[in-house]
Amino acid sequence: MFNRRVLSSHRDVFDLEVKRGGDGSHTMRGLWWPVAHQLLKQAATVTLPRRFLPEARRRFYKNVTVAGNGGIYEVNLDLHKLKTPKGHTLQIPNYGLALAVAQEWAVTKDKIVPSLMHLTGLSYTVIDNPNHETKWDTVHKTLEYLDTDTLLFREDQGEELNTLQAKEWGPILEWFNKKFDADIKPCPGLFGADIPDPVRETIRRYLLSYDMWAVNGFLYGVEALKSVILTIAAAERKITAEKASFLSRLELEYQTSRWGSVEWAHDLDKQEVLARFSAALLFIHFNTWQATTKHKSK
Amino acid sequence: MSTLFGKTQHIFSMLLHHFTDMAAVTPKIQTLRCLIREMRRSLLPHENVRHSPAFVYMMKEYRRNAVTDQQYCRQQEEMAYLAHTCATYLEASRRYQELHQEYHCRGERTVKETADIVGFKLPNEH
Repeated sequence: MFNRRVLSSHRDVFDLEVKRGGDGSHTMRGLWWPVAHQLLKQAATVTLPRRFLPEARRRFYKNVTVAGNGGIYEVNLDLHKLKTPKGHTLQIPNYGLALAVAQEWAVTKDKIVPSLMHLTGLSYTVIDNPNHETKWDTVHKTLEYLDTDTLLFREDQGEELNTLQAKEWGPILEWFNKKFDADIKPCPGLFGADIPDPVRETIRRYLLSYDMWAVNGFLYGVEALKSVILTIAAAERKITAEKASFLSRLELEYQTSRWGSVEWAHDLDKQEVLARFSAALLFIHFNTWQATTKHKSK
Repeated sequence: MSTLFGKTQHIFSMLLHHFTDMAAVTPKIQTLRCLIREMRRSLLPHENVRHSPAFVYMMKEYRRNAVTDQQYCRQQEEMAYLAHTCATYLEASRRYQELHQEYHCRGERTVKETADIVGFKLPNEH
C-alpha cells in the first residue's frame, strides 16, 4: 500500500520500515524505544502525512541522581543507568560535570530533546568516539578553523564597524599573539589567513596538552563561535562566555543595534550560541580544573 | 545624518560596556544567587533545593574557596569563573527553550485546518 520512512534528527536514529502487506505484518530494524511499539500501532490505523517527524520521548523518570566515587561518576534516571547511544554506561571522571549532566536531565519538563543537552551529548561523543578519532585528529579538526578565524576578518567598507572591530577584537588578538609568540594579523579578502607553521605547531601543542575530554570541548566551542582565538581566550579565563559569544557575533549585534532585532530569530540564535559555547567552556574547565588546597600558614 | 550615526554609536557603546569583563565585576554572591535560582526551576514541586546534590556540592565549593582573602587566589578565580559559566549555561538554555516554545512550537497544521483555510471540505465530511 504505502511505504513510510520515519526520520529522526536525534542521535538515537532508528530506521523503521513498515511494509504493509495484506495481513498488516511489518518488519522493524533498529528498534530502540519501547515507545516505538505504541507509535507503530498508532501509525497502522491513522493516515499520516508523508513528512512525519516522530514524537520526542517524554520524561519517564522522576529523579535524577549521581552515584559513584573516586574518579568515576554515573548518572541514574530513577533506577535506570544513563547509557550512551552505543550502550556503554556513561562514566564521568568529574563530580561537578556529572552533576551538570544530571541537571540537564532534571531540567526537562516533558519532552526529552537530546540536541539541547549539550553536556550530555559531549560526554556521549567522548565515551563512544563514534568516528574513532584520536586526540590528534580532534585537535587537527579544531586547528582547521584557525585559518578562517572570525577575529581575522575585518570589515573593509564601512568605517564604523571597522573601528568597532579594531576596538573589540584588537586586544584579544594582541593577547593571543603575545601568548603564542606569533604575529597573526587580520587578513583582507576571501582566502584564509596565512599562518606560519611554527605558530600552528605551538597552538597544536597547546591544545594537545589538554586531555581527550577537554579537547572535545574545545572543538565544540570552536564550532559554536567559529573562532579558535576566542575559545582559547575564554579557556584561559580572559573573557567570559557571554563576552566571547558577543564578540563572535559582533557584526550581527552591530547591525541589529542599528536596524532592530527580530526576537524569534536573533534572540533565539544568540541564546543558542551562548548555550553551546558555555557548555563547551564548562566541559573544558571541569576536565582541566584540578582542585588543590593550600592551607594558610598559621 | 551625522547625529543619527553618533546616536547609534552612543547606544552601542553603552551596550558594549554592559559586557566588559563580567566575571570580575559580577560579585560572587550574585552568581551564587543566579545559580540557585536556576537550580530551583529544575526541581519537582515537592523537593527542596537545599537537599539537591548539586546545591550541596556548590555550597561546599564556595565555602572551601572563601577562606583565602588575603592574597590573590587563583583557585578562587577559577571557581568564580566556573560558577559564572555554569549560571550562563543554565540561563541561556532556559531562555532558548522559552523562546522556542513561544515562537516555533505550534507544529504542523492538520489536514482539516489546511482545508479550512481555503474553504475545502474533506471527503469524509460529506
